[in-house]
Formats: sequence, structure tokens, C-alpha cells
Amino acid sequence: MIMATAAGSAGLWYLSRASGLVLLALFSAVVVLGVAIRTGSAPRGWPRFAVAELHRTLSLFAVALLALHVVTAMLDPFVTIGWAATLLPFLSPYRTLAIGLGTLAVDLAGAVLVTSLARRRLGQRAWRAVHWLAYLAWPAAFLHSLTAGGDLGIWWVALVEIGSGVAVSTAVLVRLIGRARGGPRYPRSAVRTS
Amino acid sequence: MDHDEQDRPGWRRLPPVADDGWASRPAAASRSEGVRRVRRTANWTAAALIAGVAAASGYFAHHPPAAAPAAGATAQVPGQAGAAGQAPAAGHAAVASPQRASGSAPVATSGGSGVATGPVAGTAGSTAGGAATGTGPGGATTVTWRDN
Repeated sequence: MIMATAAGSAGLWYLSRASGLVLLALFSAVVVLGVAIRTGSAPRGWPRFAVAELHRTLSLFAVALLALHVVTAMLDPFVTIGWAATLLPFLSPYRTLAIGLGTLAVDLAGAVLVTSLARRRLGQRAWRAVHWLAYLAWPAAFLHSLTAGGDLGIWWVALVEIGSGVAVSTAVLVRLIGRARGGPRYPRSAVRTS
Repeated sequence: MDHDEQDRPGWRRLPPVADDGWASRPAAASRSEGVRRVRRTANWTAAALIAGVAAASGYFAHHPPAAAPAAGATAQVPGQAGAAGQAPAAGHAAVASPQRASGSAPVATSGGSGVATGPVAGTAGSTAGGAATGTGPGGATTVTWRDN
């Protein structure tokens, strides 16, 4: 960040784009891990609590990366987004829809994060209800990356986008199939994801 | 505390930790192994994230893509709310076609963002502050700007 600032506006711009792209991949991994916890499908040799712990740790990494992404976009003087647009969707004068989708994803993911941190006070039912918002936050973030970013012409950027989409779609499909077949493999009371 | 507790009647020293066998219990071993695995994965992930962001930033900095805009597309300079035209379909810098290379081409302009239109001698290139126009090698007026 310091180096990017030293490099000027362009450095902040590059850092914002790069952090956003990596954040999409990380967010996708977090969602896939979350689904894996619910379906009880963990990699071989991985205890379920370890998958849940990794899900939680990567979520916190995502928060740090999200902060970097937002702050660099705000500090970049070339685009006018506005600090209010970081919390209230569709207020940005620059690419209103695209940035608004990103803001929406931030709001939804923020609600998931806060309720996860306060899970013991909220109770399982309220936490679970809010946690469903993650299924809305990811598509919003994905659409934000497709519309706000114009880097799809770069092969590896397209690969990250497609890979993220395929991974999350597959995970959600597995989740839906598992639910249709009779719910999770493990009793709900035994699942603690954060 | 000068005396040894073991010497007191009714007291018995606990067995040493090594003899307890706690660590060798399957559940505890599995748990500690799981925790170790999570830490290792988290550390590698953190390193990969930092490396990924640095590598991607470096790529973007050293590979400014130049893509031709879609037919009829006009440029929108970031930060100009309500500017005429639309952003190119995919591109960070766009090169106007020779047919449209003139100062009257529909390019959003603003004095405040460093955009200049009209024929400019020299090789066109993006400036640090935003957009610039110039005459390319083929004589075509090129317009470049920073966008994502």
C-alpha cells in the first residue's frame, strides 16, 4: 500500500484491481469451504473442525483483502467513488451499477461477518438466517468483478473468473442436491462453522 | 516451600506428563494434527494472497492492454459523471479507428481530468493523470485513457 501510494495514482489503481481479483478467488474458496462444512464433505485426512477453522480464518483474510481493495479504490484520485458509496449501494457516480453491486456484496458479507462474530449472543437460528446472505453476497461480488473490471481479455484473469464461478456453482449444486436427498450428512447440532 | 509435597502423608505426586499418555490418544492427536494443518494452510494461503496481489499488480503495471473499442463505441473517462458515450467493451486504453481519428470524434472531454482532444504531435500514450491524445505512427489520432 505504501509502495502503491509512492507509485502514485496508477499504483493504487493497479493494487485495487489486483486485490479485487484475488479477493474474488478467496471469497469463492470461503464459500466452497462453507458449503463443504454443511455437506460434511471434507478433504481426506481433514477433520471437520479443521475445515470449519480454515473457513473462519480465510474469511478474516478476506476482510483484510476487502479493506485493501476498498481503501485503494477510495484513495485513487482518478475515479470518484465517494466514501458514502462504500456503505450505501448505487451512490457512486463512477460506474454506478458495477460499484453498487460491489457495495451490496460488502454490506451482505459484512452482515454475515458481524453475526458470525456475535454468534453466541445471537443464537444459532438468527446466525444461520443471516449466514444465508452469503449466497447473495457472492453473486453480487461476482457480477461486480465482471462489470467493474475490464480485464477479462487477459487469459489468467478470465481463468480466475471462470474458475471461481465454476467452483461456487458446483458447490452450491452439491449443496442443493444434498438438501434434496435428505439434508446434511451430519446432524445440525454437530456443525459449528464459526 | 522447602519441603517436598511427596513427603507429606496423604499426598502423592502426579505421574509425569510423558507417562500420562494424553498426547498419544487418537482423538487428541487427530485434533492437534488438524490444528497444525489449519495453521500451515492458513500461512501458505496468506503468503499466496500477498504474492498474488503483488504479482497481479505488477502485471497490470507492466502490461497496459490496448484493445480497440467496439464499433461506434465512445470513451467515457472515469470520474466524469454523466459524460457522453459508453465505456469500451473490454479495454483499459482504447485506440480510435483511423476513420474516427479526429478532434470531433465522440470522446468525453474534461479540462479537469487532463483530457485533451485534437491532433497532437508525437506518439500517443497514457499520461499519469488520465487521458491523452496524439498522432500515432500511421498518422491516426489515438486516444488513450486509463480505465479498467
